[in-house]
Amino acid sequence: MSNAISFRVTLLLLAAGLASACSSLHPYQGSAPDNLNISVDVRSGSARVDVYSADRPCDVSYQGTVELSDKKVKTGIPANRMSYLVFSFEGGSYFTGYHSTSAAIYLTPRAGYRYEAAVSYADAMYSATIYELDAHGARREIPRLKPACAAQ
Amino acid sequence: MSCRNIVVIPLFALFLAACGSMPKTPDLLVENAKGGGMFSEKESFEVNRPIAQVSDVLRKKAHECLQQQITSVTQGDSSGGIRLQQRQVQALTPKVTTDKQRTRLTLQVKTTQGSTELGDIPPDGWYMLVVDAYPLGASRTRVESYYQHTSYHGAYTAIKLWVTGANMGCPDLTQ
Repeated sequence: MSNAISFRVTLLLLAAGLASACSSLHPYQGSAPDNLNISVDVRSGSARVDVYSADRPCDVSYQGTVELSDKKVKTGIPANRMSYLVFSFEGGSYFTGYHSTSAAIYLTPRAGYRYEAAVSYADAMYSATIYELDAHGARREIPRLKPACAAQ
Repeated sequence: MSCRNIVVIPLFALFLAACGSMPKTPDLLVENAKGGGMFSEKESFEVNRPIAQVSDVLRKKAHECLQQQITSVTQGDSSGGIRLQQRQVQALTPKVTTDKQRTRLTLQVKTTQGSTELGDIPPDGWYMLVVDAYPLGASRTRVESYYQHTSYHGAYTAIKLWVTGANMGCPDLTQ
């Protein structure tokens, strides 16, 4: 096999691999009313949030992905049920190599409350913070608890 | 002895020598950096924040951002045209302790998959970073940092940003 053909075969295999990897992600189509407003400030690369339902910490089930390609994104997370949100940041290129990092937050939305997330990536620093707002506008930060299973 | 072994053995010896310089205790890292040791650096600065505030920030952000597992994948071609891929996982463990005199943050790194580290390694790995914060009166804090040159320099940069309040994000240590 010539080098040129070998290179094309490699590209095809790479494309097939990427397609297969991407196919495991699908858009999140939650039926809950929009209760999470996400402000996005990503200066390089791309960001997304993978939504999981969680019966308990570490026992999660993938529900879908919300692409964070706009500055404002809205989605609905079911109230009174624990969800696990994984904010992922990806960047790089074929020549420099690819990198990905993530921040995860357990969220159990309460009915009647609104939630705001601030997501950013700039200068190799990232941030994903969720705030809970009550009807009067008072807000508190949802703590990022590290589940015990993370250390396993 | 084949040519292959001749190449491998000196590289292995170099690797062991490098490992020998990796600190097993925080005090050894501080000592190396103060003595101008190879691959180590020190820096100190003051911030207009009380020690309690600096300690809280270090505790919160270290827990949020530095307790990580980093997976790195390297690829290359062997001489036979076969593409090789190596996957390595390293665990970072931050610890924050406070006593009457100071608050100390340490960061350890341990390779958990992909290669075997040799030597008498501490349970959570080598020490790559030590940050000591000392009170300077009621409202100022002196921060002294000592660190090894590793691929996780972003951790040190982030700590500086946290204690000064300039950026409370987490460092992307995969870069």
